[in-house]
Amino acid sequence: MSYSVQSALLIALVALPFSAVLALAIPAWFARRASERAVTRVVGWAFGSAVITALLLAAALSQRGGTISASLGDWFRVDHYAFSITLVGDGLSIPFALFSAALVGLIGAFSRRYLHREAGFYRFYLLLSLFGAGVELVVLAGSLDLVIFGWELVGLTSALLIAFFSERKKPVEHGLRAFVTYRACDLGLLVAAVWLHFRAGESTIIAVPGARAFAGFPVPPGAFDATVLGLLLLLAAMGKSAQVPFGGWLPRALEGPTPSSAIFYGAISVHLGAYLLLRAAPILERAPIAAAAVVLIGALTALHGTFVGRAQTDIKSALAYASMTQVGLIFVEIGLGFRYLALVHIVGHAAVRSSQILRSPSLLHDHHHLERAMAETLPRTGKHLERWVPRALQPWLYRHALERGYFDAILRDHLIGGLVRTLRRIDTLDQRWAHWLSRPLDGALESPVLPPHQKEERS
Amino acid sequence: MIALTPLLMALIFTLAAPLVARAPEARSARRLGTSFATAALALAVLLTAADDLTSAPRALVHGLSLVHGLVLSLSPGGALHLMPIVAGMVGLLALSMSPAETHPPRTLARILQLLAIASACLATSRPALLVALWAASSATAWAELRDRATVDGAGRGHRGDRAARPDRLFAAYHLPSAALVAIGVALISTGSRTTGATLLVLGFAIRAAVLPAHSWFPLFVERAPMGLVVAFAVPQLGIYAQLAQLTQSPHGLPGQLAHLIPAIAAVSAVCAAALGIVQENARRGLAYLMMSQTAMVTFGLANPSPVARSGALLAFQVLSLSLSGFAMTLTALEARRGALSLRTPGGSFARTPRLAAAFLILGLATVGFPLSAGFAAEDLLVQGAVEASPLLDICVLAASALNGIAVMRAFFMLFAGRRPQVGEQDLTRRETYALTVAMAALLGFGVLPRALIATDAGDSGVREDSFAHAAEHHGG
Repeated sequence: MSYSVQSALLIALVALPFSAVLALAIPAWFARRASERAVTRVVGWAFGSAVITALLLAAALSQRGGTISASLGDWFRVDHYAFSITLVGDGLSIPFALFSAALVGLIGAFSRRYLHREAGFYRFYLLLSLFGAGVELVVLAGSLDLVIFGWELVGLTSALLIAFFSERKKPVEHGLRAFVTYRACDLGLLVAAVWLHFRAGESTIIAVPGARAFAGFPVPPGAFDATVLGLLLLLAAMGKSAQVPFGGWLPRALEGPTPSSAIFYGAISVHLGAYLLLRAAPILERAPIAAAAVVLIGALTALHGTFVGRAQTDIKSALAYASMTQVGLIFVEIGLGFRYLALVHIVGHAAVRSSQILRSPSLLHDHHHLERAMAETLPRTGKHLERWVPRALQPWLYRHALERGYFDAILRDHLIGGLVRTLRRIDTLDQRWAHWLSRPLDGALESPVLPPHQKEERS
Repeated sequence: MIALTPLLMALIFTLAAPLVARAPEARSARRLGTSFATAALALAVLLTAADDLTSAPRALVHGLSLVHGLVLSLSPGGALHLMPIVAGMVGLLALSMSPAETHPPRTLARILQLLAIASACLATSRPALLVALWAASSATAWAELRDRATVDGAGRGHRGDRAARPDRLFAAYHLPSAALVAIGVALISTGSRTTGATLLVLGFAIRAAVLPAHSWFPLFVERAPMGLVVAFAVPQLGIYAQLAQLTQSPHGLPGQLAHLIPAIAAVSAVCAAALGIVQENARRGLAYLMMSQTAMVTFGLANPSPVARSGALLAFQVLSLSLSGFAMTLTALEARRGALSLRTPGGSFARTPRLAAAFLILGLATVGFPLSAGFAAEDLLVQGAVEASPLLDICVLAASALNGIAVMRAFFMLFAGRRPQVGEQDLTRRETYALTVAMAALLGFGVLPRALIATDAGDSGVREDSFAHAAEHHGG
């Protein structure tokens, strides 16, 4: 297969999901909605074709080794700065792209019956296609700038799908919470991109010499810059991959439809943080402090996830914390430099977790089925913890697990809550000043009509 | 120099205003106004395309210049080249989506007057004319606020608040603003450059609602008819063009100002964004979003980097369109539902899916989300500014992050949550037409942002005769 054909296939791998988005979005805007069958066919064809494309690329890559790249030139350029659109296929991105396309296609096929006659059927498939397009772009991006493009799309679709059942209050709150977490942590990614341009002159992913290594982001010359970059990318990864202390959104995120929960929080979206760190591996090698931080965060998350998960009383929350635990372990592997192990772990975990989440509505049925087959009740898990954790600590640990580590309370009530109260006070003062300036010329003043929260504060 | 395309647009809007004012009722006035706005937009598109694609129009204009002894051009120069089209789109949105209940013919006429003034700002570079146009636009907006306060009875606001007179607050800020700009221009023309530039910048800051000179703006957005808010606050064409030229003039900004403006703008952007996310009134939330994004544009325009300035000018064009659409979509929802609160989810996505989609897309385009032209604008702005001011750059990124949160929060609070079915209607054909034009432009240029960017560094936003330069040499 010639190099130009490989490049064309790489472009097609990103273009196909976007074409599904256009095919669904444009008719919807003009209030012409296709039938369920037509919608699933569009998505099925797009991602089925993407799977075939990815398989061809995988075959080509395994033959020639190295990386495949495709350049679409400068998207825009001013003076010395240019935003180039380059795609890279290597031993990291092609398996990930293949796996993602396959899962999205499978979820699309699964959802045809699962969401049959659901009011939001069309919206679900549109968001699923947009998510798939965003993931392919993140994975195949040839620069950190392009990663951001896809990363933001993934975050948006995630929030919108969490709030899928928008007539209920809790999914909406949780969707907003997830978006806020993403947005706050994505600041790390944006600052990292700017800093990388500033210090290294570009953010293009560079093929690392040696057939066994993945391509990675360019490394800035100084150790300090590498450390700063590594920590910024870690911040971004923590938000997307629900690492402590930013993991509170994950168990709440499973409010959305089961198929999207499976693909987002079991399979793909939750692993994008790890993917980002794998691409940043050259930077982490240069910055041992950042690498140590990755290990520390991953280890703390794994411990947090395993303890808190065991105190959950519903299967989806338990699976969410189980995901969090495994992703924490993946972070540890990346921080210690075991990149291939991390990649295998990602793929294996994604496959198992997504199938578990898809089966979760049938948990009781499966449980009974298994017990009937075994002719006994299933054994309790976690007995090893009862042996290792001192008895005096167990009630504290249980309370800690029930409160989910108190992270939510600290963030909500003290950090964010304090900031919100301060901002509201400033706003109240500003309104009073404006009110005073706009008073009648006779000097008579009446109290301004304040919003309820400000009335509560005053009383 | 006189640019003919915006001048003709200004004439169209000026002719339309009295006709619309005399319409028998709001709906027919709106239809008439929409027709004129469509004509102005079509004219802008045709003439700008003709200017770009063929040399015949330029030759014709050159001939006219020789005959009349004026310096004429078909379109504004530099990066303002496409601004007449943007102004036309803003006008289309402001007029076609104005709810009839809150926009009587007199209000629509004033919107047309403001659009005429905004177009005229693009047509001329004479400082005295620009100052006069500045004052005229403030006076027009003030007149509408005063008339509303009078009609409401003894200044009773729409929530029964007897004391708040938005017209008084508006005048308290805009009279000094106009005076500062006029005196600043006069001082620059007499050679007192530093003092003149300082006064000019202060005048700009009030008009652009930069913190702490912003207190008039939230109340203005809260109380004024939204079409008027859009026509007054969104284009601000003359302002940014002149600010850009001030920094590009041969002498540059006076040294201290050159450092102070970006700092104030960046801090203003992040503070406004932070205040925006705690608002419970949807209109006030919109006001802070507008303030924050405007401050980001100011930050970029005052930056020495041509990359940042190009990004800022691109952002200015994108914001003009996206903020107009976002604001008018908000008011379309308000017309269906009444006063909008962001306290708890109170909407029904299922009833108005296209209205919700338009709201979300326009809001995300405003904050530079991918797939919209705003992404390229923000990328250029922050990448260009990092060398001169890395910390301020981080402030701008933080502001953008907060604004994104504000948009999503507004979307969820306004369109999600169970709501008694009150028969809310999705987009009408008129609204679909206006929003399709706006979104097509934003998403289309999101794919091809190059078409909006001035790629020649020497051409990044500079008209041949700068404001300050003109003030010095034309004597005001």
